[in-house]
Amino acid sequence: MQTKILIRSEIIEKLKEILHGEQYVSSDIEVRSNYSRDMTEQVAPGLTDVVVLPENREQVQQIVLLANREKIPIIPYVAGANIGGLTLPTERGGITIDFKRMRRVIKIDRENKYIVVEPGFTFGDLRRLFDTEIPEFRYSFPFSPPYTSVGINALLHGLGSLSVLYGSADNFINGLEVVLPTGEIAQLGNHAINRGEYWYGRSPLPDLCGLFIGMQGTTGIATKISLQLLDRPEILTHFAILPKDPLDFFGDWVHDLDKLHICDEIGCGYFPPKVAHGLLPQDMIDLMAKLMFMLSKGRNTKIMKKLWAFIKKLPGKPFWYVKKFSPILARKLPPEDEPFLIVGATIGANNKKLFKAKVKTLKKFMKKKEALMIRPDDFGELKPAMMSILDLPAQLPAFFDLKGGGLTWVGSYVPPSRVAEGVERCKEIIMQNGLFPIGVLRPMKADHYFVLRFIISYNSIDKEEIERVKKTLRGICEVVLDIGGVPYKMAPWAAKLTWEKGDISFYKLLKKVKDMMDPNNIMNPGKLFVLNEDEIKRKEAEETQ
Amino acid sequence: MGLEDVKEWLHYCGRCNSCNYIYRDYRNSCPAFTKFFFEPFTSSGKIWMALDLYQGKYDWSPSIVEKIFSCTLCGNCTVQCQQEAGKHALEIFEALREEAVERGLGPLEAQKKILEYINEVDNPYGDPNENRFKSVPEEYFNDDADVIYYVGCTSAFRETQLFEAVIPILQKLGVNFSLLKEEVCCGSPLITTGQFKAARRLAEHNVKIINEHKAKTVIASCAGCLRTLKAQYEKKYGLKIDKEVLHLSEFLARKLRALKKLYKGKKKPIEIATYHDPCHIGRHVGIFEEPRKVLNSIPGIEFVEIGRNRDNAWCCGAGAGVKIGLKEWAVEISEDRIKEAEETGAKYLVSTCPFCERNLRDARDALNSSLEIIDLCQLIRKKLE
Repeated sequence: MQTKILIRSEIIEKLKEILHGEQYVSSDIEVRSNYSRDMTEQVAPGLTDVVVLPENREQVQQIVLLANREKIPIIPYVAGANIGGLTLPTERGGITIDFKRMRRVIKIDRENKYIVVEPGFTFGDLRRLFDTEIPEFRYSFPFSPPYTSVGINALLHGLGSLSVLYGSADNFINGLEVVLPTGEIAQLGNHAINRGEYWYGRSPLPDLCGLFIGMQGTTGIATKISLQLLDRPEILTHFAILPKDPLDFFGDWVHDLDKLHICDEIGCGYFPPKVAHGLLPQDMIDLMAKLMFMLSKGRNTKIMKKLWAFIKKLPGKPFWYVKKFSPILARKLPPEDEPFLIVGATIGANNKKLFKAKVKTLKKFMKKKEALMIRPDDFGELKPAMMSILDLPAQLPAFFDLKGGGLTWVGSYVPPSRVAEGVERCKEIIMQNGLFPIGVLRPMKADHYFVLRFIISYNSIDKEEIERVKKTLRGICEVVLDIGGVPYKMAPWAAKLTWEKGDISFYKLLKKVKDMMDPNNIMNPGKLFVLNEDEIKRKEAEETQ
Repeated sequence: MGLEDVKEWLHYCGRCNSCNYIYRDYRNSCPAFTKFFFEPFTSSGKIWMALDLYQGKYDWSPSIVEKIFSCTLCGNCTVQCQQEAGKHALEIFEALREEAVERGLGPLEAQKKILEYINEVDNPYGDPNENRFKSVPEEYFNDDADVIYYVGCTSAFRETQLFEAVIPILQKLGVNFSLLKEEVCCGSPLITTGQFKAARRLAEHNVKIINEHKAKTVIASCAGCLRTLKAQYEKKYGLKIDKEVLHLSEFLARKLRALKKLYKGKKKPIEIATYHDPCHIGRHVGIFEEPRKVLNSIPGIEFVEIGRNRDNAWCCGAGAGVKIGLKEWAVEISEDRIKEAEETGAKYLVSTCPFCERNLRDARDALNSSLEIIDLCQLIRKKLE
């Protein structure tokens, strides 16, 4: 490993001055190495030179001014768990700014329904805030570990538990305070006009927040982020739906389900039973696998539905009986690698009448579609275990435990009309490469676009497997682009494939904006802007022809 | 033992950071993370560092040793991590320490004194070991006793009020007990600072004198001693104590009926007490309910639970050599616990470990808090007066 520090020692001394001492500045090799890797298969071409932990905007500004003057790269960092390799340094090294000390809630405005937070504020912090101080609100929680940044998730177009209604998390951004690559501070959003009194939205001003959304930290650093809070309905319940045929579901009736406008969330998990190990009791996993297996075999659906209807009529909780009989049911289990689709549908309402009407509509719809619908009360004693999966933020130990610490993905937004095809083709690629598919899918913003995300769990020290993983990811990315989709939080290699596929005029304008904002190319280099001059010219020539 | 022995777990951590926060509660769980923030101070960051070191990506250095030894080995991360790898985190951290010592880089300078003193006088405080039971009457050494009371160095040489509280309680309960004249340090401060080879002699000696005694039960009032006798001797050296080893709180919980009788006629005004779970008997051994049972049985005590409790308890900061190696930092960790205890409105912050008690008291003094830091046995003795 090349461990040489590329920046001058005076720079490190200057950083110590800015941060008032040595405690929050480190160029120790073990620190640099820790910050120069992540859980994915991507290998950073270099090591970061120094890691700093600023406490406030002023310190961030001083660091950026110094870096810009010295033309030193800056890599913004909170958890390093973006799965796009977005916090990995390049061969230029640089200064990694870790925002863990900037974790405060700056403002809670109950009347105008927003919070202003620092970049280090995490989903765990937000969950605790809801649980202890503002239970009347909710937010769109991603299907990810609790200790990732709420603000960064929004800036990176993250998806969440309210995406079905509101789309990706950038839609929740009311305004930003940013430190530009040249060191100036800018306020973006309506609070810029009312001098910071109300951070309530971006309209009707020209939307300059777009200069930072989806830009992967290449145009500046957000030091304050205002995010919309949503009213939490008084009644909120999750239902599990087991569709008979996954492709039929994605190709057809998930869109009909969304059209009913009764669900606050429709989240789809498409994964093999072994992924659930550690999350649910084993007999429950076996049972669910068996249920899904039987359902997928069509001819058994009617028997299953009749059996289910019979069990539900018996006194007590249905899953008590099912648990008793599960050893028989699960006697011949389907293959552990075979993925099945389980859909979580959340219904919320502010009164019982409305809630009941929505549930009735859902039940009627499920009957028509011949899907098995399980209410949370049906789980009986297993309810806490079942609900814990949906009790966001999520923790998914099996993802890491299954293979050995490696986790990566291609996440994408695709046209709803092509999602079924995407699922089928991605699944095939993954299985052909000897890996198993873990799909997270969801209609977004009233089914205007759709999440197609396949996660790959792998052994992080198995070189041969890592090569298969890389091949698989590339294959998935090609499918995404082929069906009209676009990868999100795209890793540099995926960005290259994306720009190669796209209209070069988009990339050129984006690059022009970047060059104007960051003339010394200090902000998170190596991300997003991955085409060189020759490649741009070649693309232009191809398009002219 | 070194990284070779734990290599199969070094690559399993995906660093989701869940180890740094309490599961589904989201308050901080890791003292080193809360103070230092940099990834290699955290559980997952240390595991990644261990993998780097095992793979030889860079050389060992004093800054690595600093990160390894600033951990209190409280084990909170092992509870919060939902992965299989998390269950092996303490083994990995101990292996890092042992390897640091093997390479002559560890432990921290101040912690080296522990070995010096133990080699000289069989205890980490440097006092002559003959002073361990200097003022103890001969009648407390009884070859026919049913129960051995293993006092431990901290109670014998520094926090003597604990030892002085335990003896009358055992006497009033009519327990036929004995101290061990040849008791030496259990070795905990050596084992937790990576000097486990040097502790073998102590383990062999203690196991020998305990096993030679006729008693069927060994009790310890120090959480660190308890863990070492009960779990570490066998795990580290394959040495087994052939008697039941109990913490004093467990022993008293079994004698609750008799204890309650002693309180008769001793009604006192109601005072609020909260309880700090020492890591060594809590997370490391699983003793959570017994101290609470005993505490709840004391007349005039209203027990109120502290915010982070049982296996989520915030570490006092004294463990794994941190109190010796990084004094100020140890007290800083404890200050958080004092503030948390104050939120309960308690008069007493009760513990079951003299080492925790000492550090909590230092933090209490630093904060000018009026909390009374007291061991469970001292509180019982007080209420029996």
